[in-house]
Amino acid sequence: MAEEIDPHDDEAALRARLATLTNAIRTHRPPEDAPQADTARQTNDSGSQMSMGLRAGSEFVAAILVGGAIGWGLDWVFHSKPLFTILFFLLGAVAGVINVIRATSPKGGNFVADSRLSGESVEDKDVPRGEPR
Amino acid sequence: MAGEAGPAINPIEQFSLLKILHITVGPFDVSITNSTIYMMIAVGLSCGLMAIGARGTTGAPTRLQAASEMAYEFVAGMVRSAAGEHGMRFFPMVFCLFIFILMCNVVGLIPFSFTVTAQIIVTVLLALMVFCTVVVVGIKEHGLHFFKLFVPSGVPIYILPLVVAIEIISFLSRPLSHSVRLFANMLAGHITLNVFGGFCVMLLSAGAVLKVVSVLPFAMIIGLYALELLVAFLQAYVFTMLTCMYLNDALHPGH
Repeated sequence: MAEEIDPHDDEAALRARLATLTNAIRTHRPPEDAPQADTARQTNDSGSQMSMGLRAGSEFVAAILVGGAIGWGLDWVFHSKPLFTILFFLLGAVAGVINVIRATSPKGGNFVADSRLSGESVEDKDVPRGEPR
Repeated sequence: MAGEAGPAINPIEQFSLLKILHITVGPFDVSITNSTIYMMIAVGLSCGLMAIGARGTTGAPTRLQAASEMAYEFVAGMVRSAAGEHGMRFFPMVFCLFIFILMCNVVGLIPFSFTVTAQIIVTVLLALMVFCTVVVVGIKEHGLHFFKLFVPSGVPIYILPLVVAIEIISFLSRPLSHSVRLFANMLAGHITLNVFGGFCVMLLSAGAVLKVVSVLPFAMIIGLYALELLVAFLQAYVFTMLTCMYLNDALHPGH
């Protein structure tokens, strides 16, 4: 950039213009958080309903399989054939239910049993994940 | 993909690995397969997109620049909302995962191409990478405190062992569900497309009246393709989203 005008002057002027424009945009825009929450909600609505359905099933099955595998492994180690397999299969099923509840609970809040699957009763149900726990 | 002519249509033939360049290093077979090549294509496309997006800084953004910026904003927003500002440390990894899976999924939709993400070894490796990152980062950040992840607060002592066992199973099931979800969706989608393509071919070669009927599976293929495009994006999104949530657990254990 070989210009005759003093580059510092030019840059300062540009920066001032940028600042005024930024201010102008900021006054026209709703507060900083609003648009972000809005887009988050949008993606939540369009994609996540379907992805939620796809997720729930695999979360449930995966936990049962892992539980069964752990039980089978313990049986193999301790030669106690059906005991641990049955026990951990059941624990796996419980873990699967917990996985599904957790996947469908509102994010950021506590783990609630009254989840997205159970209807409209939870007030903050569609709130996108806020502050990390 | 959909539409090899021939009497016998094998819907899972599209997933077979073909060695293109035979290489062995010691006891390991590191041959270049069609899978390798499509992974390279996916990486090349992602790098190309980002290189073009990062190049133009003057005037109105071009379409590719807008696309790459959208991808950046999308993933950055996801990381921030799921793992907090602290999680932005992992942004490079998360972004690479997202763009790689997305490119593999989308490239796989091109007829006659190969879908890398329909190979379970690929998805398992990606999921294990995330899992190991979560464990390593969690232990490094919080030490033994990380294992509070398995001990929910406010649980009576007499059912604590049960709850801890359940939590551990739940934690260990993550890489499985994480990888199987992506794999199964891509596999199922491509098999469905291929089966309907097979119907089309069979009806076309069956006779005059049945040729007209072959429009029906063809229409179905068009619909399925739209759905598959959605699924391709959605699965990349879900994989990345869950990665962020797991990383959040590593950064802030103990709920």
